[in-house]
Amino acid sequence: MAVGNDVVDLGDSAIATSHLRPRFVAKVLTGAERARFADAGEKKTFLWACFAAKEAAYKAVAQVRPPPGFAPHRFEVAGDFSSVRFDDLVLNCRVDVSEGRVHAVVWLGAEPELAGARRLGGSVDASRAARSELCRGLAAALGCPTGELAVERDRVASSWDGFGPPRVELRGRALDASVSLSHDGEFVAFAAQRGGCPQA
Amino acid sequence: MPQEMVFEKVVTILKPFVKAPDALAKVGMETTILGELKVNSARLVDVVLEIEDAFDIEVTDTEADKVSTVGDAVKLVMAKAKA
Repeated sequence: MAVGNDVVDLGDSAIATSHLRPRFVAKVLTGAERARFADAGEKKTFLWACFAAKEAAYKAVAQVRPPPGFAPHRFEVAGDFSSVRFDDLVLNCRVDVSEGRVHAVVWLGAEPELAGARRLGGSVDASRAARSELCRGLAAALGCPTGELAVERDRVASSWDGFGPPRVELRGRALDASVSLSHDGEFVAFAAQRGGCPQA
Repeated sequence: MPQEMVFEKVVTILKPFVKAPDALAKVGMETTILGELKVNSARLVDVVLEIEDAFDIEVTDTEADKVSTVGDAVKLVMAKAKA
């Protein structure tokens, strides 16, 4: 059981021309992906859909193996975006493009029952907003008050960003769930895959 | 190029991508690029490309794979520049 998700704000000016820069594209896409990119009508969307799928796959892989570093070429997205390959692992994938963003969810095991992305309103802490979205979704699924859930991340020196994957606690006890958080630009996103969760 | 200069140049490259100005104010060799400086992972490719251009080097996937801290990036540049 492992889930990862990633959202990319397609309206962010910082990525407006990335798809037009061959060196950028070559850094992100594998040879097979570049061949599909060449034929793609919406090149910007294609590039960032691949990127989001790879990022989401990275987050899922990091839950089952020592976290890989930043190596987009080690992740290859299938032509129909239904899976992402990392070494000998083939992870399931779904990519949703709407409302000016790309949201990718990648998982091992059962399909995540909770996943979503939404545009933030006003000036808020995106990281906190993503955690709140996740907790709201989980609380509704578990039938417990949102305030009884907490999202924690442990420090992991070997990880790229210095932290391990997020985990959820219910009333201070670890919840049997794999969760993932993401935010970019004006969007926050989450995904959750529950195991044999304790009921609230 | 001395390590201090490489460090300054790497920090200058990172600056526009940093989402945590407080961490940038006390940046050091051990500062993590994603975790502490909160550089968005989607911008990492731009960071790598700018480092390649600034130091006239090529950074492979395997090399980028090992960069977590500012110091890792500095050491990578120093090693590539010597090669």
